[in-house]
Amino acid sequence: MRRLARVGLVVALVAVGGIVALPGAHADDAEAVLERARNATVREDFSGVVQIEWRNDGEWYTAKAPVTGTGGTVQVGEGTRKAEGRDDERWIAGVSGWQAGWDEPVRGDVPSPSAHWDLTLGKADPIAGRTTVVVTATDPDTGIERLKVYCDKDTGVMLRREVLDRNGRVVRAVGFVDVKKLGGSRAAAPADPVTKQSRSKSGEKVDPTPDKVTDLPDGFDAPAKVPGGYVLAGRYLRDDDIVQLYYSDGLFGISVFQQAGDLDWNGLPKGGNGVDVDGADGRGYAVAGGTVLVWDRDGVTRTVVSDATVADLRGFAQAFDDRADESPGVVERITDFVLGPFGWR
Amino acid sequence: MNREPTKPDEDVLSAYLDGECTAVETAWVEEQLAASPEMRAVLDDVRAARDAVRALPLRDAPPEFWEHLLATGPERADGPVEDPAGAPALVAAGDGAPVDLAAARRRRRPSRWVAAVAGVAAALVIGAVVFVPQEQSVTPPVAALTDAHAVRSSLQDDAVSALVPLAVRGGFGR
Amino acid sequence: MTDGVPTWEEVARDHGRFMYTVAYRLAGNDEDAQDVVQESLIRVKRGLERYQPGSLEGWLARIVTNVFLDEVRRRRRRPTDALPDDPERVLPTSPGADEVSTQLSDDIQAALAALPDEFRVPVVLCDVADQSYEQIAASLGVPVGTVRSRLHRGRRMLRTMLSEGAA
Repeated sequence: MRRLARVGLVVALVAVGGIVALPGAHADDAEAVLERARNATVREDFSGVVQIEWRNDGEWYTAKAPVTGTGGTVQVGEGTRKAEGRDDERWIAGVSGWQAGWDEPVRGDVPSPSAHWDLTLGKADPIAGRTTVVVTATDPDTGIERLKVYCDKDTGVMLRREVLDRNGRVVRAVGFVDVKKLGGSRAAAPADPVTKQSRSKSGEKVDPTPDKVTDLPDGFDAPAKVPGGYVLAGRYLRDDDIVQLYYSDGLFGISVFQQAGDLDWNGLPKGGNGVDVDGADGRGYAVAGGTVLVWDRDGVTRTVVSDATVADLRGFAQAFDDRADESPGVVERITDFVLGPFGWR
Repeated sequence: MNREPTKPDEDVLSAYLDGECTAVETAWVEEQLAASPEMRAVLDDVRAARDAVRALPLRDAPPEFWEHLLATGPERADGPVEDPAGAPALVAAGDGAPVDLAAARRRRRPSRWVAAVAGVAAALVIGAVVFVPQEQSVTPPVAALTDAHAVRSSLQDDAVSALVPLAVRGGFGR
Repeated sequence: MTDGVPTWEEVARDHGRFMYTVAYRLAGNDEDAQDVVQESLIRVKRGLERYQPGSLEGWLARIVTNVFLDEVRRRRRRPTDALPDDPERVLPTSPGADEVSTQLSDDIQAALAALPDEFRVPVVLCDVADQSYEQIAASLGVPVGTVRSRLHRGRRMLRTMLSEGAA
């Protein structure tokens, strides 16, 4: 991990400077580009290198990983540090081999991004030699751009995603720095993909997907909506009794993990910064995996993870706490009852 | 006696990773890495081992260990339970002097009847814990939760960008 | 705390987990780690009068290491005791971690515990206790060059064990 302040800023400036609005383009076109990009990588074969950059305490950090897409299987990384996705399955490799990360369909929908964001579509400079279009999401309240998604014009594959802070500065970016074979012929999907078994130390098969739940343990909250446009798209109970809620506003996904008990500060990873969450002490981190905010209130410890900025997560956390204080209404209870069995909520 | 300047040996690769090289050694390593795939492979191996150990989570003793230690002091945490002479048993020797930790452990283990009484007491305490809400401290497994978010996010957003954090160094563990 | 010098209770509360982690990675099992931490706190309590405010965790890591090495020497004199790398005693699970992380940690811990002491100790001090080569050399009473060599060999052995385990 090395500082690459100049590289990161230069890349960001080149990208920002090269944007030209497409004549006649409007929000529907922008939304269509985003929708197409969601699963474009499973429709295309490609290979290349993806770079992730993030800013922490005013310094830039960067890391790269090779990536391939073959017959619908996406693989990122190599050796003992890689992840793979195919349909609804996710696998993570480590020094002890492959471990399953998910193996069930996800049913909850994410909301339309235009419900909360102003979207525009424009042309941008090429990325890794590919012609691109860019979708820019602007906060309608402030007029400040908060996200840019650069997509390959021909195939729709997302080539770069930039998260901007409340001052409009890029604080996190992930994207291709090299790409090959994109738009070419496709390999056939393997007739019988290699099965990767996930087993515990004692040899028992492990179910990697957390349980979808409708009722949460006492003291835990799962508001259906959180101010800021976030909608609950899934709630799960993990083997370690931690509840995971997944929210989305159509552009940013946020996981809220809740566990019973006060936060043991000594157990937190080193680093990070103190963050005030509506009067509660919290700690925020910016790492390759995203932005993380941890705090506790009323005997529940919450960990929120996203690629949004710390300030945005803090706003989300406050809204979540406020919203969680409200008792679920009749409509929400009925919705839970009806949709719960389908694992929708 | 004239000696030819010796090349730094392979050990320098770990020092290079840890930022413990001299400027001359750093230059040599970078020259070797540029020219030698074997050297790069060794560096990758060493880095993988180093990352693996650094990724290990913090570990803690059971809460009762700390409660007992803080309540009685480290010297008396063993307790005079089984000291036949009835005198408090001090485990410690002076700074750096060898000590018999196994003996300390034997003293810390209660006798069977003490264990039986403790068992009953523990059952009562567990019963109380079940019916009386207790405050407890928890440590979120932050690295695992970050991974779990990446996995969930990759299912409804672009899989490549969501999965990249699982494949790179620059987080809490992986 | 007075004049920047903590009490032993403050050390236990604020740095107990750090001490325990170092002790556990050195010893390979909870029972020995508890013994090492308890003995270390006795030495902390006695040594605090002489402690000069500075790198507290460095000082604590050195004490934990010395206690562990004393125990290793004692066991070598009395080889009937179970050794820290007894394979039945080195596969703990980490409460609270998920299955992926737990199994990964178990494998790494098992490999670490299987390293001979002379290689495991510098690896733990460098990669768990975050000590510089100079600090490690001072703790072990060996030259910095020896630390460098053992650390490198330890990591290579570790890598080999992890690769074989993954195969």
